[in-house]
Amino acid sequence: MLPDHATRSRMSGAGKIGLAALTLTGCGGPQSVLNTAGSDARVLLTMLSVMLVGLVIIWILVNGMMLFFNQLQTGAHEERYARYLIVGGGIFFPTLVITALLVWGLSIMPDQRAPGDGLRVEVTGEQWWWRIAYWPEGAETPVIAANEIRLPVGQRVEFDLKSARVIHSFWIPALGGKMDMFPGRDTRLSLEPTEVGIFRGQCAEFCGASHALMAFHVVTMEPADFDAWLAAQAAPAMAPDGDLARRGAAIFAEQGCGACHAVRGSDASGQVGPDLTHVGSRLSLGAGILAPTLANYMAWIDHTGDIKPEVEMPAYDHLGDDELTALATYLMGLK
Amino acid sequence: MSENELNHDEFGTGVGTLMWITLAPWIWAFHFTICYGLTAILCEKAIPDGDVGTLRLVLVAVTVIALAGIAAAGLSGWRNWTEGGLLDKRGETGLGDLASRNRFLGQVSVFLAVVSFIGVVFVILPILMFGSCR
Repeated sequence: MLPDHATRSRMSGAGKIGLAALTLTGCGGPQSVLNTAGSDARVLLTMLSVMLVGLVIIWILVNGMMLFFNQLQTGAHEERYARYLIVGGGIFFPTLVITALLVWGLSIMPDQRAPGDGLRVEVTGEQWWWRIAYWPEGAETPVIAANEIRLPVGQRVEFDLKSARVIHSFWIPALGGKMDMFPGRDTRLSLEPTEVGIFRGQCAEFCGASHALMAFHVVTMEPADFDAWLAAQAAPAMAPDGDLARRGAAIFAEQGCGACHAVRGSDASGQVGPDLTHVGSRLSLGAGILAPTLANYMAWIDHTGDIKPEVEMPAYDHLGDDELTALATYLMGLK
Repeated sequence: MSENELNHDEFGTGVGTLMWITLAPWIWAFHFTICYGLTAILCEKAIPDGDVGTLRLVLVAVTVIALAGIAAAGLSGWRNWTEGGLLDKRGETGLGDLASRNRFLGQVSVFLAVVSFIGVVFVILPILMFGSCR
């Protein structure tokens, strides 16, 4: 059993995100192929709709014929007529339909692999979070982030997809199709967001105990806003503001958090876990699963493995509530 | 009708000649292997982001040859199938005697040729429609 406050904060976190999603965007939600916000997703939705309508028509035709020949015209049929029906309906028609769908499907595939307009985003699937590196055009070093992707609208962005240990799959339903991520092999995907908004991505290939808890938020922004945001992300972390945050920073250092996490601008430079330089600016905690509240930060540090089973981060359950509060305050201040 | 009276009995009745009905699927398989193998190797080793024009030409040529081979196999099957009269005037195929067996094998090889023809066209389509290795 989870300790009480964990259960409460976990439910309130997931509940809040879910409720907000439902009330803000209606049935579509932030993670739906029906609620498109990118040109690639729109093409796929058109294809889905056409196939769905076609399927219904064919289903009615086939069942109608079954009804007709079983109930209404049950006698023997002329052989020539039967042959036309079998060759026409069984060979020519399906071949034509499949050929048309194949040609259409192939015609949209090059776009989904097209090179980007400049920005390249490298995403590495970890267990169970997302390592993210932004490579603006001409950049020599990337801007490192984690568990949240921000994109400029109106530009095609190329994704370089990698995986650390097992196969994952990168999927932002509102923006486009999914693409598997393999250890030792790079895959590519390109997406063109067309609308400003907040969406959700999810690992779409079973990758272990917390596969379902491996998500991320996607924020699409006007290009100018995006540039400003990226510049802020490239900057080192803000110094802790206030006594509580300073105490939190000291606990962060004492507890050795920096062995796994990097906070650029401090001594923490670990590469094992997510980069926390601007963790306080993210829309979620724990890779898309918790709302970024003080209670959730505390719960996450206190009993990490209860919230995300088999996670590599150890639970710091020896810390008292006041220490957790300080640590959480420090992290939330890393805007 | 005896065996000697059949004008077209390419498929015969022996196991060795029976294999001829699989000619079209074999061509399809070879075409598939050549297209996928050549594209994979060249895109990985030689032209990762480059021009696929030459590769495309070579594979179109391979496709034309494959389709001609499949058409020939289908035509040969068709001649066996229609041996002894038009479609509607023949007896059932596949019954005990040699002639109907020959017709049956002809019919099977026509159908296999049709499937193989479609398969070969489907294999070449992506190569025609994608302008790069991406």
